[in-house]
Amino acid sequence: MNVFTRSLTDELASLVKQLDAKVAKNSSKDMKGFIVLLTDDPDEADAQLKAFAKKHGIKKMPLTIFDGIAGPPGYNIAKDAEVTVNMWVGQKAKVNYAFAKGKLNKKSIAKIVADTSEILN
Amino acid sequence: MQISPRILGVATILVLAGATALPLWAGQSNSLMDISRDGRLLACANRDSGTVTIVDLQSHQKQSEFSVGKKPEGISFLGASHQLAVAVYGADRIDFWDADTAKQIGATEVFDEPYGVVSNSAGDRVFVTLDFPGRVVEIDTKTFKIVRQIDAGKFVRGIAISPSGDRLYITEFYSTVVKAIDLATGQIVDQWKGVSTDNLLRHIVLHPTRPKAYISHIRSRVTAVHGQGSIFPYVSVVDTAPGEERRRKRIPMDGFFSILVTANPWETAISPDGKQAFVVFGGTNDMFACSVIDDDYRELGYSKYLRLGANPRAVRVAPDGQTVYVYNALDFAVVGYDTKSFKQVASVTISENPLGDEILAGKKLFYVALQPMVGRRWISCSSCHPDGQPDGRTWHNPEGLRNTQSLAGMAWTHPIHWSADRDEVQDFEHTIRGQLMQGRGLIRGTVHPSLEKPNRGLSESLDAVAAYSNSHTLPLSPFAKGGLSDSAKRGRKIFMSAKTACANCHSGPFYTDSTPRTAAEIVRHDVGTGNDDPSEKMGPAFDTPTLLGVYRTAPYLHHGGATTLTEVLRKQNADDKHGVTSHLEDAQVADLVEFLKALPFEDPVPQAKRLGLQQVAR
Repeated sequence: MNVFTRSLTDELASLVKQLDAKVAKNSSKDMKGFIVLLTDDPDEADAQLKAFAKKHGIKKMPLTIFDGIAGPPGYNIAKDAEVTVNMWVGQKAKVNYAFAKGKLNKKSIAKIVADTSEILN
Repeated sequence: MQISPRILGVATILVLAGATALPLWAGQSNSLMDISRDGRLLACANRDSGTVTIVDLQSHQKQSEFSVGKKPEGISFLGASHQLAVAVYGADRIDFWDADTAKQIGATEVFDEPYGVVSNSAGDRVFVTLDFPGRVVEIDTKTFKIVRQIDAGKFVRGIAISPSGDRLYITEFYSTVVKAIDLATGQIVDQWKGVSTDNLLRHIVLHPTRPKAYISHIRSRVTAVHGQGSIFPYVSVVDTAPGEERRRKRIPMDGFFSILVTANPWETAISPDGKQAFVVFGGTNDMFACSVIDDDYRELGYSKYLRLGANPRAVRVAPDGQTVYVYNALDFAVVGYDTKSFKQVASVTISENPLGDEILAGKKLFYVALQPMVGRRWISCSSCHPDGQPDGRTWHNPEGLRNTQSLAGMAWTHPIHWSADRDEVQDFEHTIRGQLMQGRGLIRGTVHPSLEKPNRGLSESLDAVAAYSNSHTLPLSPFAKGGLSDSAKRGRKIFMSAKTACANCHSGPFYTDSTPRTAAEIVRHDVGTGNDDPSEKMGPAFDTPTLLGVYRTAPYLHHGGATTLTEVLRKQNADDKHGVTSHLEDAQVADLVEFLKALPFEDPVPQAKRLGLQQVAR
């Protein structure tokens, strides 16, 4: 799974912590994931991401930076999506979510975390 | 947890998914090439030859070539005419020529380092950037007189004029800041900053109808010394319309087409209809053809990847939009491609090789980001030493902080590096093979450790790199064009005095006691700055750098801890270990700085030869 985000919010932290726990729990089933901060300021983002990882104890999911707010071309990240979550098995997409600014909440986080079952073999 | 700067290599999956045109004219953005408004002539400035070549675009034949002087860096047709302005960087002059007759029609002296030149639509004005001291000069093309000078920043290179002709957009080479100058008032009215690590922005081009500017540059990530972590290629898109939010977008060019890495983006061109963009890469010798996307978001889409010749430095689209021309600078050739099929339609040799075979071979290797020099494609020697100049950065090297030095005069000032840990350019075989460049290398067999047995003579290619690296000469200081000023003369006395002892180490024609010699004879000095940096592994004694050219090479000292020469003398010399300067009055320091800025006020080579100093040829 991967999570593309354009900001580091408390809601994102909650989501990532829970996904990180899922990855840790299911590592024997080859579940993997990473987080990508999309930014136009990679210098600042470096420090922000390190602080975010430390504060929230993210251990399993690598936190990465992509220089450019539009994200990697092949991923077609929606222009108004603050957070985008993708889960796939092999090359086949299983779960897609995109949340506009302020729309990621407890309910949607719970749904995403539950959907990790979709990519377990 | 792992933090990496890139997510390249991950599986690609699909997830979720005007303005009125104003007429284009030639010379709207700076380049080594320009095409006349009627599409008949292409003019190309040849940096190495010191010439301009005119190509007839109907026959794709070379029409003429004429000498303009050292390092022409910019060229522009004047409005709709076949007259040209050429920015001759090394001669501090703008030359005006008639392309049809190959006759010079005028010249304008400028302070120093003219780089980019653009013309207004009428062709009665040209605007020129002066890399140093960071100025824009407006010239009347009828009288060839300077009519206005605008201080525009530091190391100003790129320049474009808006389709309406009321604004200039200029770029700073090292900071990559883009600025807008209102031509009615001469004031800087807007600016767009990148991030602190953005670097080497020498060009800007405007979209013909939308409020967008396109800039190609690198990012010098100074905290990482690694082949895939130090240098990155970008096109950034600037929203030139007034606004508050997100006005400069970054488009990484190392993930633009799958996982293909490109290096050293040097110039971008936009087609006259505004639908295509072309980006050339001087390191990987290639080009992206792109679609221009009118979405204020992604901005560019991939269309085609083309391999080019050696060190492409300029790209222009013909006024009819049918052909895109690329200047492969180290092939001395202009090549044309059909903009729809991307098939090659023209190839014109525009100049003979003026460098000689060895230096040309070395120069190609110096600029290329491919094997055997480079394994990961992101970086070349020229990424940090563009045209032998510094990159304005202080790198967090394994041995400590290291401010990039100019290569000018290096043939006379071996050993190399702040720590004099290399006594020949050939020792950079270790860098080529190391984690920064990860190349296969140029020597077959054993590579000797630096400062031990010579690596010279083990590889013709490596010797060629050395020959090119040692070929950079020192231009005279613009501050001494009229001779030393009274202030500089007073400063010279202070510099040479026994009390300050500046000349004890900064001695001889190159103002350094660092001269080619055996490893056992290498001299290093502790000037009190070696303990400033806790990451330092080789200090506290350092090689004495030449002072020639220091007027343009800030920051100073091995760790870049001084942003001005005054800071070197005042802030970084509290214990008088770097010359005795604490007793100097402020006015005396100012005089001393004036003298330093005037270096070199004469060519050091004749004196060096008289003294029998050794020059390293390769």
